[in-house]
Parts: sequence; structure tokens; C-alpha cells
Amino acid sequence: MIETATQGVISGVMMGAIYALIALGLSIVFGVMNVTNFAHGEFVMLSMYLSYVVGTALAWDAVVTPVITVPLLFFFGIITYHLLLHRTLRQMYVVQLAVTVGLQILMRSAALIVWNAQPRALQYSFIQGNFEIGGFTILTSRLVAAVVSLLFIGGIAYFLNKTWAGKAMRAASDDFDAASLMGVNYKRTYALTFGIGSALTAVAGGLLMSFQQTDPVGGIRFGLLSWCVLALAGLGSIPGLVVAGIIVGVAEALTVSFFDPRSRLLAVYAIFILVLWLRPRGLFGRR
Amino acid sequence: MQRKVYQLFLMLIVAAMVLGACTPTPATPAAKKLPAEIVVGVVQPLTGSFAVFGNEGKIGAELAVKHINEAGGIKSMGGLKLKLVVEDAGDNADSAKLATESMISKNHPVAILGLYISRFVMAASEVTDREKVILIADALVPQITQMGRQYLFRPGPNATNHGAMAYQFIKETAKAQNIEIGSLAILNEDSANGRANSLGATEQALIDKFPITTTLEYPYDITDATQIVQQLKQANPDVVIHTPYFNDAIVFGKAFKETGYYPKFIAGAGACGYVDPESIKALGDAAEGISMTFSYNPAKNTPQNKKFVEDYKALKGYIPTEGAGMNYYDAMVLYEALEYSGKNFPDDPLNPDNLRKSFLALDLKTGPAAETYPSPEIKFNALGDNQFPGVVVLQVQNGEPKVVYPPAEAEAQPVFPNPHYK
Repeated sequence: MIETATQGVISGVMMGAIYALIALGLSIVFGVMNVTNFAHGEFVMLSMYLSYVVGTALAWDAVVTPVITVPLLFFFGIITYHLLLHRTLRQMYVVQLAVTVGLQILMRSAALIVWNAQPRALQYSFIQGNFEIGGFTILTSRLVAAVVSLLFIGGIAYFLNKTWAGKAMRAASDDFDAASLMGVNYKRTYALTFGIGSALTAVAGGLLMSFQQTDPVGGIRFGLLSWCVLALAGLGSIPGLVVAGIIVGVAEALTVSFFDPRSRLLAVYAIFILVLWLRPRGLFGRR
Repeated sequence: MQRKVYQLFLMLIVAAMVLGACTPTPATPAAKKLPAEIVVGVVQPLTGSFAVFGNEGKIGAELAVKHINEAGGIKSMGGLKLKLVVEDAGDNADSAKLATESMISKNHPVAILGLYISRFVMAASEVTDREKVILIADALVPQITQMGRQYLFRPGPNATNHGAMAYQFIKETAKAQNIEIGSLAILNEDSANGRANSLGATEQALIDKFPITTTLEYPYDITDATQIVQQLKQANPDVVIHTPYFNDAIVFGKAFKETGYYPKFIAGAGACGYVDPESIKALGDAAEGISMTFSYNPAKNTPQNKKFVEDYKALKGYIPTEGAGMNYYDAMVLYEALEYSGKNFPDDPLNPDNLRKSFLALDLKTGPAAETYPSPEIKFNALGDNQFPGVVVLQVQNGEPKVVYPPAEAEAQPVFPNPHYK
């Protein structure tokens, strides 16, 4: 019983770190631009497919593919911002919603056309395998993915706190008009924000492809999961996002171990609803 | 007086009988004019998450129609050719039903092939029965033929047959190779298909009083199966009978590989995942040694099947998959029914009731359908199910799917236990 629980917590913590990385992109975009990107999960799906394409074409390991997919997703994010989202910023909220939902459907349909609904996976990764500590199994791929996720989350925290561009993003997040008056170019800042948000999905996509497969309709899973993590963490707290990701990961793992694998999402959404009900700002939200 | 009245009455009766005999009897209805070609519909999920199966099924039906037309069409109807029209069933039961309505109203087919997903068949068969169009379904859930549909036929085996075959394969192969197996875990995705497969395996195990130590269900869109595999590891059964859908087979294959846990054998049931080309490509070495039940035998050594396999390979680069094979023999069963109807109901062979009678009258032991079907005979019962359902077992050996069971149909010996088992 205790062994199963400990094993579940170990697995959950590692998956939770990856969930936090996925949710970070969504959190930045939502926090800075006040844009609810319903297509965020599809960005993860696209990243995973690109990771597959790069990995297959160049015979690269999935974890190395972000070297190429991160710049690709960064520019894809910037183009998406300029072509679609920029035009919605001063519009009613429902316009943003329609545009991002439309983008979600567009990306899913495009993936269906290009990859024919067939799930794609890379066969091998040098981080596949496992080792044991104190009788508990540690999956190497999850451990590496968790460590890399935490490193990237730390890097983004540093960027937001210590660099001019990061401070500009935070300023725009706090008060858009005041930041504009202080010389922050909001267009450039927003484009950079959306680009970074997209690029983070490329990192997550590469890590996920080292042990998972992707399919055209799989984006929705990551999209909803990101929203749960974000709702739990609240806006503006990166450590909060990590803790929220871990809570979701552990809840999932323990539900599978002790209850029923089918109730995995039930646990996640129960947390989501509870948080929205009891603490709409999230556990660590600044606003 | 009374006698005269009686004579008059008798004369009237005789006169009425004579007049009646002279009156021309109504002519037998004139033979219905046949159309220029026989339209056959294919409704398959061509987009959405089931598109892999639907597209393969479509190719199977197209090749069958090509072969039928090349061989002279429906000879009992003067060599009438078949024309295939295709409609996308989409990715849910409502869209499948709408697609069936659209297919019938636009094209008026004599029969529809496909739908693949059982809930799609359940929804679409409501329309085909109402419109009196024959539906030849390639779905596995047993209940689809238990809804009282009159115009629905399923030549292929059902999911329970698949589950039973997976169990039988393990039991007999272990016995033949003198390998002891003492416990079984049953694992399935939680749709009706997954459950029906597991039910088939469970029933057989219960008959044998074989210990089932673990039963687990999971959602088919699962993304990480390591926790479930860890649970299996703790239960440590000798054999796992697993019914995946498609994506989840890849998820589990990777989880088995990554955790390093392999029971003595992993036997798939339900024809989805593990042994199809895409799964083998995605799993690589992790798929090695895993078996899967199939409703179609690509290794069947008959001229018609060889022709189909050759043409399919030329088109796709690999042997026909389950969906392609089923739709090929389904179309061939339709061909046999049309031939029968042409011979036995020459006045109106395409009438849906005559076609239905033809399906029910079929008893196929030879011919193109029997040559591509995995059992020696096709004969429908009143429900529309084949009374002689055939299932074979394929196993991944050196990266290729090989038919390994039943022994009479096998092209290779089963590798038992799993090569990864320690």
C-alpha cells in the first residue's frame, strides 16, 4: 500500500514537472496578453509531430529535436500573433475565443490531412529505460523530462525577472497602458510573449515524444490539462505553477494506482472545479 | 318450384365459374428493368481519429469491386458492373448516421459496406433498415446484430470470438510448447469493443477454471500507461490478454518496454494495434513477440486471396490490414448474394427483400468470398451473423506480422514466451 503510494508519488512528481512546463506557455500568454489560447494543446500536438518529423528525417533522438523545433515554433507563434491574435486584442472577449477555437480546429484538421490520423511515435530514445532506488522504479525518460522541464521553467523565471524584455512583459501584464507610456512596445512584447509561449511547447513536445506518441486529436488532452494546472496555480506565480503541475501529476498517478485508470481525468477535473469554486484566483495567484 | 330454384342456383354457379375461368388472369408483374450499373456504397470514417481503419476498409472494398468487375461483373444479371460510391462517416455516431442518410438519398445504393466502429453501425443501421438498404458491417461488438435489424449482415467474427481465440491460442500454444502458465491478467480499453473482447477471453478462462488474477480497464485515449504496467508487474500474471484500440497499443507497448516488465506472453485481442504496420513502425522492438487476433487471414493460400494481397501490397507497400481484408470479403459476400439473387429472383433481383433472402440463403464454401474468409464457410443466421466466424492470430516476428494460429492456417511457428520475457 505505502509502496504503491510512494511509487505513484514519484511518477506523479515527474509528470507534474512536464505539465508545469506545458502550462507555463499558456500562463505567460494569458497573463501578459490576457488572451485565452484554446489552441494551446494543439501547439503541443504540432510540436510533437514536428519532433517526430525531425527525429525521423535526421535520425535524431526526440530529446534533441527541440534544437530545431523550438525556433520553428517560436516563429510560428510570432506569425500566428501577427496574423490572428493582434487583430483581436481590442475586440470583445468572444472574438478572441472564436479565433483561438478556430485556430484549434484549423491545426487539428491540418494535422489530420498531413498525418492521416495515424499516431506517430519515435521508436527509441537514449533516455528510455529505468533504474531502481530503494525498490522504487524510476523511469529515465520521465526523470530527464522532469529535470529539463524544471531547468526551462527556471530559465523563464530568470528571463522574466532579470532581463529588460522579461520586465517589459511583466509590466505589460500588470498595466498595459502604463507600460506603453514607459516606452514598452506592446506589439513587439506581445509577439515575443506568444513566440516564447509557443516555443515552450516545442521543448515539452520533444520531451513527451521520448516516451509517448502523438495523434491529431491529442492536443485537447494537453490543452485541458494546462488549464487545470493554470487554474490551480493562479496567474503570476511560476513556483506555484510547478507545485500545481505536481499536484495534478500526483493526483493522476494515485487515482490510477488506487482507484480506477478511467477516473484519472475525473480526479484532475474535480481539482479544477474545486479550485474554481473555492479559490478562483488559484492557490498562488497574484490576481 | 323448389327444384327449379335449386337448378337455377346451380346454373348460376356454373356460369359464374365458367365466366371466371374465361376472364383473363392478371398478368404476372413485368420483370423490373435493371439499372446500367449496381451502385454499392462505402460509408467509412475517413477523417477523425478512426480514419486509419476507414481508409484501409475503403481500399479493401475498392479492390474487391475492381476484381469483381474485371471478372465480368454480376453474371446472373447479364454482367452488370458494380459502381462504388464513398461517403465519410466522420468521427462520431451522429455524423455516421447523417453520412448514411446522405449516401442513400444521393446514390440509392443496393447495399452499404463498412462503418467499422460499432456505435456507428448501431446508428447507421437505423437508417438502412428504415430505407431497406442492405448494410454489410465490419464492426465487432456482438450487440450490433442483436437489435432486430432486418437488413444488417456481418460476415466477420464478433469481438467475443476474438477474445475467445486469444485465450485459446495462449492455452494451446503453451501446452504444445510445454510451457507452464498459471495466471492471467485481462486488460482492455473501456469501450463496448474492449469489454466484449475481454468477455470472450474471460468466458473461456472460467470454463477452464483458469485463474484470472487481474482485470483492468482504462480509457482508450490514455497517454501514459506506466502506472497500469506497474500494477501488472505487482500482480505478476504469466499472461496478459490485452484489447487495445490503436493509439493505446502504442502507449502500452512503450510502457512495457520502458518499465522492462514483460509477462511470459502478451496476447492482443480485437484486431486493433500491435501488429499493424503503423504500430510496428512506432514501437519497433517493443512490438516484437506480441500477438493479435485478426478477422482476416492475409496468409490464406487461395488464388483469390493471393491476388488481393498482391494488389494491396502493390498499392500500400504492406500486407492487407484487418479493415482492408474484412471489407474485401464483405464485398465478395455481396457479390455472391447478388449472383444468387440474379439467378433466383430474375424478375427483381435488386429488390431489398430479395437481396435479404439471398444473403440468408448463402452457404459459401467456395468462390471469392470463401477464398478470402478466415474460416471454411460463410452462412448467415437469422440475426445476420456468420455461423462460422473465423479468427486467426498474428504475431510480430522480426518486425513483420506473421499468421501463427490456428496451426492449419499458420505461416510461422509462434514464438512463445515473449522474447523480452526474463
